[in-house]
Amino acid sequence: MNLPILKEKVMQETSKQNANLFAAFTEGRRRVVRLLFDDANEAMPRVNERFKQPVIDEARIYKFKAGVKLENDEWTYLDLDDEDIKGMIHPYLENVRNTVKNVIVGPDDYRKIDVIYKNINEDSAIFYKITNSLRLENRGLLLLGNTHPTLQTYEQAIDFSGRVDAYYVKKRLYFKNYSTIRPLFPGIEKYFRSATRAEQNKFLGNDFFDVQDADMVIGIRAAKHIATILDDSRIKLNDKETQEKIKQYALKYEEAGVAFNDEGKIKIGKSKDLNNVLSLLSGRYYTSEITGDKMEAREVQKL
Amino acid sequence: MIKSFQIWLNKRLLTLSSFFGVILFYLLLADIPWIAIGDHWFKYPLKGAGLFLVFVLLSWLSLKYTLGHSITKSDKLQAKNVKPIESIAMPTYIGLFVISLEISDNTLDQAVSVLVILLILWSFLERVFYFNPIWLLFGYRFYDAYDNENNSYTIITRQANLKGAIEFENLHRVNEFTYIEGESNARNI
Repeated sequence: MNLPILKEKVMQETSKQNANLFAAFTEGRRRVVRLLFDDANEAMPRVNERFKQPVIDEARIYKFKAGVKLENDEWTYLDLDDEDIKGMIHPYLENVRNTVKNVIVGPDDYRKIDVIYKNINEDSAIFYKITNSLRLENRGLLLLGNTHPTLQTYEQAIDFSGRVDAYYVKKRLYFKNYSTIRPLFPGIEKYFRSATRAEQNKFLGNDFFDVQDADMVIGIRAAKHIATILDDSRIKLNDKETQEKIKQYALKYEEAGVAFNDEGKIKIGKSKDLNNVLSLLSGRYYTSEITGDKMEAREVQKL
Repeated sequence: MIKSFQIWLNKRLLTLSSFFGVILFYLLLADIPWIAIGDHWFKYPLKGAGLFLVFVLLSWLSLKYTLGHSITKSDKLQAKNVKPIESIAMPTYIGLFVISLEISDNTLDQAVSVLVILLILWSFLERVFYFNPIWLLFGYRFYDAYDNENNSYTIITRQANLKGAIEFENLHRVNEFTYIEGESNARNI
């Protein structure tokens, strides 16, 4: 589906029409929506300046794939079917034409809010994920500027940068980071699972592995590792020379617990074995040059 | 003035303006020394006219203040049907006048106690209509509007004779169940 590139002016004009600011959180099994500002609120023009519909370049969007790292101006997307729209999007947009059904946000809701969103019209919205780090309590701000310095204090506030974490329009959900938006859209996991299942099968199906549990559950972190390993053309799991290097590496760091069967294949019995193998293939085991201790790195980055 | 105080004041002003008719009737009948005119033939008409003007002024002020200081100014509602409620609210309202009539013979402090208790109870009800018959003179009508889930909301609007499915747009939120329409552009849907 082609999405036209929207001009910023058109977007700003659109965002003035019936754009309300909402907050939402989960209570039990349902998503609860509260109204923050209606479109006639005096704060809405400032909200609209800060929190805008993003400019999406058709040439820089990619269908969602686990583990893919995006540049700042790139987006990944999912095309949602009607059932997913009903489950994931409808709770946010169903009351745009009936804002009276939304209770005004109150002080008791402050700690529960996990997303702030603005409807662009009846069928699209932009979302800003709220984490605990964005909640500011009992803070004081020293305001310095063109006027005399003043101190402003507040009890409950949310850092509102206006960053767009997800953008829904025309049955398509754009986002940059799956982990960030996952809690906001119940049911989105199925897209992650379908993206990782194909890679999982490709990875575990390799002849170099002796997999004892083909249906093991692969977590987000492991899925990202698999994607990274599969994308690295230098890790040739079918190549004998590479396989020998891996064996020697495993033997050197036998504490990592990577075991081989009689045929020289890596044994993967359960999730823990898989994680050890992925750490090995990612080159996370090393020896400290200073102390001589064998170590495992949490993250690795090429210099 | 901070927002929460504005909202609190808004509601109290509306409650008072709605309730003032009852207070007015009591003041008209009771012998209150500080608004006594003396025993003239024009005692009741003059007192009545004066109190009525105060009632109209208070009603007008409460309406203007509400429209200027409501929590929201553009709430929307797609009502599947609407029902006028003057016929329900008016008998209740008139009933309060009967209470005024009864207590007008009591001592001032007894009467004030009863009225204050009624006022406090009135102001704590979430679904109070804020029904004010003077607003009918200003052209406002009171409706119960039902959404598609049968939740009902009190809509106070200048649109008369509304029937069927109506879409309201510029609603000012008084509380979670009571709304006053600003620029009236309610339309059938």
